[in-house]
Amino acid sequence: MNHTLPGQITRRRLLGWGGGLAAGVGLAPMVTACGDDTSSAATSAGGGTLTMGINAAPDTLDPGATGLALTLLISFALFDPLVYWLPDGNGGAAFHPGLAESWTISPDASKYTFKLRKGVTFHDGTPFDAKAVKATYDHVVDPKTKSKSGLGALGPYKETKILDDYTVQIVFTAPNASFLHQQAAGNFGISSPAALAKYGPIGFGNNPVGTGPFTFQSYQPGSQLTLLKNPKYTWGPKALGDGPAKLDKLVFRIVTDDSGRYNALQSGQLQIAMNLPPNNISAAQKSGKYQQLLVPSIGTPLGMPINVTKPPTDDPMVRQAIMYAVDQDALVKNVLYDVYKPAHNVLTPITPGFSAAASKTYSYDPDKAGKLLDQAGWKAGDGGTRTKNGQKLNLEIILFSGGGLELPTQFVVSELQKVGFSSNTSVQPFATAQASFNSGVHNLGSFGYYGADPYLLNIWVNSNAIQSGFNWSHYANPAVDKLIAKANSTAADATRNGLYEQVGQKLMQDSMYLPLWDVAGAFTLSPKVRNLHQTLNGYLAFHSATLG
Amino acid sequence: MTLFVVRRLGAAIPVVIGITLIAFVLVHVVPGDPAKVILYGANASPEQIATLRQQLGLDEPLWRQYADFAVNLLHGNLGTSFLTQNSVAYELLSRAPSTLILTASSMLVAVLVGIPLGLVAGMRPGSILDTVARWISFVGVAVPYFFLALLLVLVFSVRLHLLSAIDDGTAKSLVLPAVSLGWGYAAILTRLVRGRVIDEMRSDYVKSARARGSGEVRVLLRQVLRNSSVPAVTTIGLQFGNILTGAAITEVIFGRAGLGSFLATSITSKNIPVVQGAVVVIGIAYVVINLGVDLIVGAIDPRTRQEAAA
Repeated sequence: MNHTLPGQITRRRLLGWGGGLAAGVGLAPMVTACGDDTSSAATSAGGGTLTMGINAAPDTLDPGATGLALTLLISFALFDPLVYWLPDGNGGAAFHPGLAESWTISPDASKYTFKLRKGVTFHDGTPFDAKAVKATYDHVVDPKTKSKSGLGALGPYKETKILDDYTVQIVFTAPNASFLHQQAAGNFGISSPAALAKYGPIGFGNNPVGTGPFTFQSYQPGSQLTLLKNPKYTWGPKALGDGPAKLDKLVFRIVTDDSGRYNALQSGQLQIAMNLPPNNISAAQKSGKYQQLLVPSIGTPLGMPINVTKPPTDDPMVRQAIMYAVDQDALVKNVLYDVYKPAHNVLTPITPGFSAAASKTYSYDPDKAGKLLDQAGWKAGDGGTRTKNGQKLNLEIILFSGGGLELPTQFVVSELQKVGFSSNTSVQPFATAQASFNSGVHNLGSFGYYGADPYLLNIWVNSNAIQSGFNWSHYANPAVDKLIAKANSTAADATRNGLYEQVGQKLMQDSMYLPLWDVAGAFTLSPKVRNLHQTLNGYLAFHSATLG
Repeated sequence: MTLFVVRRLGAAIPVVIGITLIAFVLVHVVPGDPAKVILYGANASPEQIATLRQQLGLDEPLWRQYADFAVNLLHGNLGTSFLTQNSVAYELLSRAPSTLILTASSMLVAVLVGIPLGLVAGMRPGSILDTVARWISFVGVAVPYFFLALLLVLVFSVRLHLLSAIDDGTAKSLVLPAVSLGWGYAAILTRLVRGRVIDEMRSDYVKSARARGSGEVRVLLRQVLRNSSVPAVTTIGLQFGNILTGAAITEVIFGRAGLGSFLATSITSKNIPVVQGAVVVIGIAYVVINLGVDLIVGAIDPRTRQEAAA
């Protein structure tokens, strides 16, 4: 679980505008999710420079050290993981050999053994073998690396054992069932041991060397990152295309201003603009000149943590009333220009362990919301706001700026007003809002998460994450903590997913989170861009991308 | 003269210390924990957050943190960015050229448009040319530069495809940001120069120069322009500070990786070493520019030199 960016522009991705077209209308053929034969369609001869506008500057180009989801997007172009995990095009996902040809997992999910591919070389010419895998994982846990998301994503790492030149075993001190998903999500792109030694744990972030389809050329801080085609690349997964990249050059251009990215797309300086706000996406679609892609991500939908300890939302009936009072479908339609998918759950549908039953816990029913408030003792009063013992039914709403919830919250507020709530909304810079959320002065906050495995729930529902972590619902339920821990120590997929489904149902029943829409990456692209592939964290892979 | 420069530079030191102190206090007054900002979404345990706080030196008392910063600064070390782990000096240096180029070219637009327009308008007050110049400057003062920037992008990039909407490293992509940022200052200069020229044209020495038979162009350039330029130069110097502020927003609009946009994002992420470093650098730039202005004014007008030396 890593992936995020916000407040400071960086983490904005986390709660940032995802957005895009509702599932693949008209673009499914273009973005072949998986499938071996469709990706290298006989379009153009290839070549050229593809420039994509991204909304934040990477903190480092070392995927093992980064704290930003964005670096993982870049990581997919520069590095290969041991095992790829990619969407299968039917809402599911499948594993594909990457730098490992095969793998086995111990029943308690604490030992992972990988048989490695031969004949692979890094961009600097270093041959790939077991030592590289060990160097990569040891680099992530090296305190000098100051790893941000990678360290958390790796879990209880103990060591990497080299069994022979082309066999490694990654060992954890405790069961860690999320690891196979995590290692595929971008943080653990296998790095050149020679480059790690040459540049050092921090310097590697300015000089990344992997085995991926593109090699690093240059980075101008805050401005642009230029990658070149790796002509030797023949070891990529079939699901992403065959042989070396088609593009000569791939440029990531940092344009933090939303309308700046849209303007540059229109002026032809960009071929892809990432995460435009919904009004721009809607305008781009109306113009008929662009393709729009919505790439769903594993994670927690954008929404509002409901503080279960601060009155009046400490009363479950009040929280349930909120859940019944808000119409997510209308929100997406009216405020978000229909570019998102409404959410009714604590996990997005493509996340393993997603419970369809949990999504049905509530439906839009303002009458029921009113009745619940009546039962809870909140009586309709003057001016439409309910009162109890002279107290108004008032909610403190705190959002962090740049999180993309400012406008949608106005819709939520008007829905809540209809059933008798009043509210104060304040927007704070990310760091400030975070302090507010930890201290619990809010009734409703803002959240959303791009992840790699349902274990991401642990970061925002675990009872030890209230004071200083991301449990902004202040939800403390030891039974749920235990269920999540048990799930993450279960290697068998079906059993593990079943446990996560239970967790999802319990969280929805306890109405500790008001989901609004599913996190997803939104990409507005020139019609020339073809043969992109989706990743499971809302991003794109450029392995066989072409400019028609 | 040397003494004057040394004294002015000496006086700048407490100014720079003062602004770093204020910046330091302000950035700490705002609630929020940089360690948590960095680890947001990193599945971090409270122990990890505590470790990171320790690594960043955030567990030290405030005075100690400031003292460390000040000692490092005296060694020419601005510290390490919380976010990238690169040295702050490197981060600032890689972005400084972009801001310097934008600031200088905006100023160039302001001078090249503002001074001739002011001269022409002031020579013939009430003429058609004067009316046009007054309207141009009126609009320049009234329309905010960020709004102008958006309008220019819409027309010249999005509609006409003539100029770049975002920076691409070419001089061509500098046109729109420089014009949108420089226009307002051109307007201020136009008004200033126009007013002065009207006054100077009526003065005795202009009359006598004309009586001596000097040509109109010579009178204008040698007498009127020189005398009108003292307030203009002072204004240009003062406006440099404003242009630096404006550069932050202009940089964001045009996707330029400069100091201004960098400082803005660093403040919201509580990247304290970067904020401190940027404040020091910008503070020194201010002091140096003001010093430069004093020296130039001294060169143009000997009277101020004597006052300064006194």
